[in-house]
Amino acid sequence: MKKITCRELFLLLVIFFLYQPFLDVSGATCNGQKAFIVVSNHFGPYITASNALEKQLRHKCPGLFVNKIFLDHENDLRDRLGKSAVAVFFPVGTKAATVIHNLFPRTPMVFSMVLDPAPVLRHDPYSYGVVLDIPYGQILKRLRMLVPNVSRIGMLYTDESRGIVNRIINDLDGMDIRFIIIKLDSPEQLHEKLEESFRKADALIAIPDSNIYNSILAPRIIFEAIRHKRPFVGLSKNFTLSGALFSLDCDYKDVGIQAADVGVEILSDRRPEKKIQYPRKFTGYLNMHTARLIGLSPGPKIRKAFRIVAY
Amino acid sequence: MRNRFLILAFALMLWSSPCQADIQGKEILLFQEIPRVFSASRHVLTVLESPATATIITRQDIVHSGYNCVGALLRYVAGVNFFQTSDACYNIGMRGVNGLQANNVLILVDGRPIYSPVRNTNQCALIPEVPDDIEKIEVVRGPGSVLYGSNAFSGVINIITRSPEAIHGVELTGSGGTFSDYLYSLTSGERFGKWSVKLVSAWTQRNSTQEHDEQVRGIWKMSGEVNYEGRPGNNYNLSFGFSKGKLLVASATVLNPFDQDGFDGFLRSRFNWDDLKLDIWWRHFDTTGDDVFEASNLKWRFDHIDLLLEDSFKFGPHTLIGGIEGRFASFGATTYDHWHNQFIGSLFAENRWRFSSRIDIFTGLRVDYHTEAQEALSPRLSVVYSLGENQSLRFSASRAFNYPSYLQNYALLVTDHFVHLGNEDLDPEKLTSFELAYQLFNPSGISMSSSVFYNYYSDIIDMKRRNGDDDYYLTYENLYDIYQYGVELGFQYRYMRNLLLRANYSYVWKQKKHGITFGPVPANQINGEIRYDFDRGFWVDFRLHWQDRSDYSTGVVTSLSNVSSTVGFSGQSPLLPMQSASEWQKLEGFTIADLSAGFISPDKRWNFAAAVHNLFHSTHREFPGGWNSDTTFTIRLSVYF
Repeated sequence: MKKITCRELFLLLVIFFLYQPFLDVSGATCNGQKAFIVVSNHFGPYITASNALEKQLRHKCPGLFVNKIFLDHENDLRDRLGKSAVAVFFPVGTKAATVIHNLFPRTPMVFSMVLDPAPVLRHDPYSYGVVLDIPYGQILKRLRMLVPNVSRIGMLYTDESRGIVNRIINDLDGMDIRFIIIKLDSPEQLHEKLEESFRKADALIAIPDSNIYNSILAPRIIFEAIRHKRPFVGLSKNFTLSGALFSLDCDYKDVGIQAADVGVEILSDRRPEKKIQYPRKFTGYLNMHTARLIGLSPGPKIRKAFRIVAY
Repeated sequence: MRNRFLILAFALMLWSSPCQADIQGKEILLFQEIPRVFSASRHVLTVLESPATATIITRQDIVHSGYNCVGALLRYVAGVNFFQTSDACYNIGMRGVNGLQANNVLILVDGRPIYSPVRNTNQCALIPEVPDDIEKIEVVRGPGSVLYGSNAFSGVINIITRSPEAIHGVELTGSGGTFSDYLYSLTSGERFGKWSVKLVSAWTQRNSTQEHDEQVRGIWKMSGEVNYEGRPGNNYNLSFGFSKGKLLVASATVLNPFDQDGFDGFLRSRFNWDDLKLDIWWRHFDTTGDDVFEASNLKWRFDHIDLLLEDSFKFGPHTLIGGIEGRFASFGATTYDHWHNQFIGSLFAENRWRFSSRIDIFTGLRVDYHTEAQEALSPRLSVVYSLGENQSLRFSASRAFNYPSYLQNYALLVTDHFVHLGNEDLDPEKLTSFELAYQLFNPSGISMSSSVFYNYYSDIIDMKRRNGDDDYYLTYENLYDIYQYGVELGFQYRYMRNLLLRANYSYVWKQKKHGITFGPVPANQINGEIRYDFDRGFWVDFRLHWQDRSDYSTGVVTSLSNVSSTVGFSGQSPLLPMQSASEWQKLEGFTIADLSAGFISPDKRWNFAAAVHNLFHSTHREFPGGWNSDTTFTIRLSVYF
């Protein structure tokens, strides 16, 4: 029998490594397994993410049985899934993640399209996920591009978002930022608290708090920010369209792909590096009209870092 | 039968809307739509805080409609009275205030009025802007003279164009439809350092629905701007625009529709120093037309130089906005006695007082001076009370005015047996209005609005006939005082981002005085829209408009039938039915439906729309002059580089 020479072995290794990305190494472990994508409802972003998730799963794991359902009712879901041996659930959206966690606490799940997940999801050993939270370090970096001397950041919060505020302060520790955090106890206090925050802070950043940054109060905050000529960072492109100075938006399609990649690792019996992952791609949206109104004149280099919107 | 269908359709629409979306996670905060902060009243305000009732037509509405003429979208706004006068022209009134020439609404493009005082009407078809260049249209109902002066009588429509940064490239659009309804446009905009540049060019044409080979619109449009940003908060903007070509115009002041051929253009310069604004523009209007009755080559021409200086101040809970405005006009026409010069000067101020966290009080006053009609005062008081997070109640009391047009002041047309005379002693028309409005605003769910108004008009200018020995004299006088009241209801429901339902209802009652001239206005009007945005960029949009019979009165124009017979006029005038009518007549009610569908590519690089307008093929007249509508089909493709 002919011996394999070192040169031939080297060539074989090179060929193996070159072709490895094209080999469906996970396919063998996926064969016959079942995955369920559970979508909270028919919101456009959920559907975008779930379609990308499904496509990526089918691509990476051709042998995997992938089903997709939209969440209608908890009891229906238990009846439908109760007898299935599901390897991994892929809930899309907070509602689906919560329901799946409650119904199937010992089945691995990879949630996606969840903003600020509850501690029970963050710390559950069977839960992995891709959140929609943009790292606030990125937001601060962009803010400093537009307003270089910003040093006091204001945040309005309620009891709902106390945890987020603490996390942001911890995350941005050491970035030479002083946080002005102001609690809002009722919507009636908004005007007074905004005046206080604009008096004390150089800029205001929105945080995921449905008591404050809803479609009712958000326009008032945007209006007051423009009136006081203070930069206000919104939660999404819609805030920027409405008059916030800028915002960072996730790529929902990539969030779906990212969740699928995490799921493939679990299906291949590999442990994902991080339990909770942040989005890989996001886009900055800048409202030039607001920039002008509050006295900013960003140069071409800065504008290139954003997509420009105007209202 | 048609009415039954409508009632059924709306019942189904309302019934099919679920009550409330499920409670979602926090990510809903990212998907929700945030109401736009807008500037229709020179203040930056939200819809809930506005001192007047406002509706916004967005760019998405324009793209989805498939219309080459965006004015037609105004038909679907509560309280707006839209009527097509010819294949190429339309008039717009609001809240049942409509002279035959529809001069009671102030239409602005980026704050610049497009009203033509030589013709006493808004010639919307002549604005240089094209659909691709429009960012949004703000429709503010009710008197707006306190900030905008004359012609902001029953409402203000502000068309806001896109900035060069928003265009950020080149957009080519080609649209074609039945009756040779073509629109080709190129829209481009880009920023270069501190400079930004925009250039828009378009050709639009259309043939008659009656005689297919006859072109009734053929207009070349061009506009552009250069913007320079100095230190933060300061910028300078130089813009221009013109439209040139021919248009079939139907007017109440002449007996026949006629082809108007000419030019309407402007050159504008704007400086902004923080809150201080200096706006100067020159407008040149030069058109000609042939009229069958007068059988002569008519010419209308004017030059305007407008100047606006505006500033705003904040002190404590007060935000004061004020300024001065002046217009120097030089104008003439073959139907005027000679060339005239005219000056209008104005001082205006409005204060927003944040009285408490729930109450905003707007108080404003404007004083105008006109070389012929002298002074006019237009005060406004508006109290906005916040009922909760997303509800407000508003009471407004205001006064508005309309200065007489050049036509009403200076007309002079003499034939063998007929004399048409202007009157330089006319006073401005006045409107005193009271309005109570409630608004619930939640663009991610249910929004509702309702308003009740009472208007009292005094010194309405109308034509008066005086019989001479052998001749008929027609002149203008402040003749009538009338009152009216009405209700407007609006409803919008957005379900899970994809589905949008809209419906509105308007009712107006007006006092019908003997002899008055009044354009066709329906008492009841209902609009509805269902739009579905699919997840992959497709959309379907269905709009429905129903209005009941429209009252109109030709007033003294009726007497022209006698005149025309006296002078031996025998042309086939489409206005003949009007001339032979008794004073108050009715146009039949009608239903119009539009269906459009299209696709926007995921990278937004191109979009396609196809639309059928007047889907049910309603053959009706919207103007006493006799134009009959027809079903039209258009397709449009836009490519973005």
